Amino acid sequence: MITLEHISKSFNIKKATVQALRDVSLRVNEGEIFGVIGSSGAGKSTLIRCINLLERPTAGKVFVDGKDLCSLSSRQLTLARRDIGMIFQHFNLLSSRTVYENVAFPLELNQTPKEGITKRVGELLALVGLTHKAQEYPARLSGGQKQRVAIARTLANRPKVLLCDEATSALDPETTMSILALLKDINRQFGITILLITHDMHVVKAICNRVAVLSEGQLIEEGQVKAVFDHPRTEITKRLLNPASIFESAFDSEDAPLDNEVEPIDALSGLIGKNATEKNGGEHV
Amino acid sequence: MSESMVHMLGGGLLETVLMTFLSGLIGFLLGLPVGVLLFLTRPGGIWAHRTAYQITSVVVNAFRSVPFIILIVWMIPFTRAVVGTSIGMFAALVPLSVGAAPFVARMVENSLLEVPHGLIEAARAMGATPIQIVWKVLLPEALPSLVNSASITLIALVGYSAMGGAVGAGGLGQIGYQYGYVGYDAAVMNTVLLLLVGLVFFIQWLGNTISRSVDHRK
Repeated sequence: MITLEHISKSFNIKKATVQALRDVSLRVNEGEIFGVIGSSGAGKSTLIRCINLLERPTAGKVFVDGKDLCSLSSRQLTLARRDIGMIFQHFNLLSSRTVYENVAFPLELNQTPKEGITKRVGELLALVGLTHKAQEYPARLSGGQKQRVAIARTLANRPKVLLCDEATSALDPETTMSILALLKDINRQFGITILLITHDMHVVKAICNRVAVLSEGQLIEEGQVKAVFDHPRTEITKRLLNPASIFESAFDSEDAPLDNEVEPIDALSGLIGKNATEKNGGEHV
Repeated sequence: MSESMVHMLGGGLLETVLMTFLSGLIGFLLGLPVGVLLFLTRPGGIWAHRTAYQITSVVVNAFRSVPFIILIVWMIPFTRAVVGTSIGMFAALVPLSVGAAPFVARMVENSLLEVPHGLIEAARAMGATPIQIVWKVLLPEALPSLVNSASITLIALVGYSAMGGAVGAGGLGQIGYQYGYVGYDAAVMNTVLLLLVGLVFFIQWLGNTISRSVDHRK
């Protein structure tokens, strides 16, 4: 359903070139839920944004539902995007529109007649359990409710593919699970292919069929979730699966003299500092 | 104050209000599309286009740097060609509108820059055309801020219209000029002042009220 062939993407930021993706090839089959996991700055966001060409890859080809997206004119691409749903970490609902009007938005884009809109929005709000909030503005909703509205909105035009860009990263664990259950339900009920990116292995474990691990712009592992998680082949994957291990290695280092309290803390702050810079890099990307 | 004075002041107030709001309206009609163009063509924008942005930007800046009193005088031949005269309220509308438009354009550009980038991206991902993004996302989302820009513009125009009074634009500015500078009548002068202050307060209050009623961000 989604095929990426040798995708590379580099950005020019103030004369420096940042290579966000290096020769990434990926195939997501129809009807499956595919997860891409990686730490901050690994290029996950760039990868998912290359699929609907919010970012245009520097090299490589993108096929969604058999269409070579890079070859389309901007008008054709705009139309093609209507078959590719997308939800975001920060929901991106229009603050000037009510819940009802937000869900109606994509239907207005292709001039759906009014009765059609009313009917479809009604169905979608029922599906995500927010019929009673139809006339509220997004500012009055909780994070989980906002993401439900975003899901209803993105399903309005019956997309074949749904891209989830860290869709549960701004939510608490309980809400995360309820959103994941909704996504799984949508996948089963409508056969929508889902590609999600996350830094959270629990999300992958909960709903994905297959997973790929992204590190420094490269896919380093790929396979059935159980196979990859039970027998990780690389150090990076092991660390993603057990984030606490970096603390253990910092504290349990054999060389660390036990009578000196400064050393382990230094080691730890070194790691934290490294993560922080990676995170900043990630914002640019 | 005699009845004829009250009558004159009332007429002056009406003229000032008309000049302010009419030139504000025309200024917005001219400035809004230019502001949208600036936003769309700016580097990294939806229609990023260096040359278009720079040309528009230079024109806007050039008009903004001309002091208003100079703009009125400089535009007299044009005003005459459009309205048939360079004296009176309708003649004043021409330089007032032209003076307001570039101001409005920059205000609009700034208002649109406040719209969270994620919303534009979501609209693109949903397959919105650039025109649809402008009409259905940018302008509605920026509306509270645009209303605030409108009140700032109108308040600036109250000041501009009074300046126009010195060169025959009519309104409270002309009355203030005649009775305060050419001759001196403290009562008339102070009344003009109070009326102008009142008008500015009213515009600010109206702007705040409308802006609040269209703001659903919290």
